[in-house]
Amino acid sequence: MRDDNRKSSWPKLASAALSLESHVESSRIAVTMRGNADMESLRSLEAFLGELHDEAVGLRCRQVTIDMRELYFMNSASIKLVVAWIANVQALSPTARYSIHLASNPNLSWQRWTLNALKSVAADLITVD
Amino acid sequence: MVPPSQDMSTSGAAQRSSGFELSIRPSVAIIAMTREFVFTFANRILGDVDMSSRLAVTVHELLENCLKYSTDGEATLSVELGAGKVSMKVRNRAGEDQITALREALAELAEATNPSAFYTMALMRAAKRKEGSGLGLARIWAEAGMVLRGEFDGDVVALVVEA
Repeated sequence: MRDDNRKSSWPKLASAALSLESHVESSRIAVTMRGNADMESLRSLEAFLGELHDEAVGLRCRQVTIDMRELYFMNSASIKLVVAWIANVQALSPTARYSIHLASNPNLSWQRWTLNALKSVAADLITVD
Repeated sequence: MVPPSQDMSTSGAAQRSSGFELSIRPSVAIIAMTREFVFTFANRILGDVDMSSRLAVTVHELLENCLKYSTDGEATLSVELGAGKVSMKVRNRAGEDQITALREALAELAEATNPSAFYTMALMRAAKRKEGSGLGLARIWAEAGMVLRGEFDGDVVALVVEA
């Protein structure tokens, strides 16, 4: 179980353009991304995803959900970070692996293509709705 | 900034076109601002949120490339919006290695036939890359649905996208 120190260090992104909120629910971590992910937030997003992965593995989570319904834009470099995170999950042993669920906004055209392409990269891990 | 132009020389909405040209020094903030401006401008002219979003993604990716690779930090953005066709051009100076890499990327794109499969392949490749994502052009083609071509004149490179 996570201790108080880990709770207090749970990552929150400080960026004018992008906000990330996360909380643990049973064996699931729920993350909400809002705003625009671009070069300004790149380093913070990279750190966030690294900590998210460590947290999910440490807590033996079965699923991480990312609510992207209010994520209006994501640049290629940020998409690369997400792909690298997915690759890290794929590299885990089957028992340690967790699934990823992406909640999308069908009105955002970039999500229709990119999230489905991400699903193609790891069809056994990722669901999109 | 050159103000938007409207070519009304031929009658009928189908012949109308609007556009602008910007000379900028891309920065992280300027790129985000330009993306928002292109979305707002295109949506006002075309009344098409989907196309406006695709143009916004495209301009962002093109200007980020300029920010990374322009040798003098400057770029010129031209946008032309018509009822049946939209086009965008980003021009900047680049080094020899970057020009070679761009030619190779465009050649690879020209040989690809399936946008979805190409984009998925580019995503898988991106995870292994140390420098850059290599996703920008694939994304413009697959996600934004734009046709790309390059124009090369010495160290001046222009990427033209059309839909």
